[in-house]
Amino acid sequence: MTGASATLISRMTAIEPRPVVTERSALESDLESLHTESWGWALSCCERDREMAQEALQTAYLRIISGRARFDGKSSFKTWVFGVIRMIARSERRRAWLWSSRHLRSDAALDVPDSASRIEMTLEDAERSESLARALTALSPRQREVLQLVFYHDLTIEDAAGVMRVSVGSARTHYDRGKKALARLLTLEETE
Amino acid sequence: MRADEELRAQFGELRRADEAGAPAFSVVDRRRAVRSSVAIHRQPGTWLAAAAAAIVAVVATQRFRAAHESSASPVANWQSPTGSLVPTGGRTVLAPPPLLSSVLDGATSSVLWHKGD
Repeated sequence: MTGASATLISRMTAIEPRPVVTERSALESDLESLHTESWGWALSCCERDREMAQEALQTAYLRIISGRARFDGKSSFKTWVFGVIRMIARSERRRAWLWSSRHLRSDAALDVPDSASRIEMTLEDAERSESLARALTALSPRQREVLQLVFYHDLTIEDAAGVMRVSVGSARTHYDRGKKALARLLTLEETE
Repeated sequence: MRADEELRAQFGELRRADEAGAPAFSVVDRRRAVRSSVAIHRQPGTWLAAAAAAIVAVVATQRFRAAHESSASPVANWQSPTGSLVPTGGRTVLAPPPLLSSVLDGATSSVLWHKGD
């Protein structure tokens, strides 16, 4: 073995662990670029409970970064991350429901955008988004999910079906019914 | 019915409001890191506790078994509580019959005795 090849092998050995680190940080940066969207989705999945949404998002990040949830490339990264968040939010909601049924907690934790986040919005816009948030909580979970994914996150109904783990036909039904129900609720909100 | 564009605009407003109030990624990620390190640190403790519990369970089971065995006497040493009242002891009753005898031994012998008299 020549000296040059020995040097080359030693260099290759020296840089071998690096791809793992790069992969990990790439995953983190992918999550970071998707963070605001993920936050909106987590809020929706947790019925706009900020604390629960934050908890669900942390757990989702933990599972993704630790490798307990693995991206298989069958869908887009965004769709997959949303699926993980949805699954975790469901278990968080179940846990919260069990806890509240034991402790008879009655304080509703509906998070409507607060005044601090309204700085850039007009009063009318803020009221409209508040009424939309309220109307969304009155929909069935599936209807809320599909409408949120299509109108808020700009996914197609097919992608939304992937996140929700339902057939495209079922997602389309929830979409149509949800849109009608939401329109009715928003009209009611406006007349009140 | 509301047009899709109108709904989309309303969702857009909600989205902008949510984004303005979203926690920073670094905050969520830092809390995640703390949780994962807590989980890692908690793991050895959990394992130790589980191992200690298993050892305690094994020792307790063995002690219980030993105590139970020492208090129990073998069946061969058993004596009837009213055995002393019966003229024939328990051992005689339980003893196997002699090889060259019959169950009618008692009856025949008594008859013979009567005849002999």
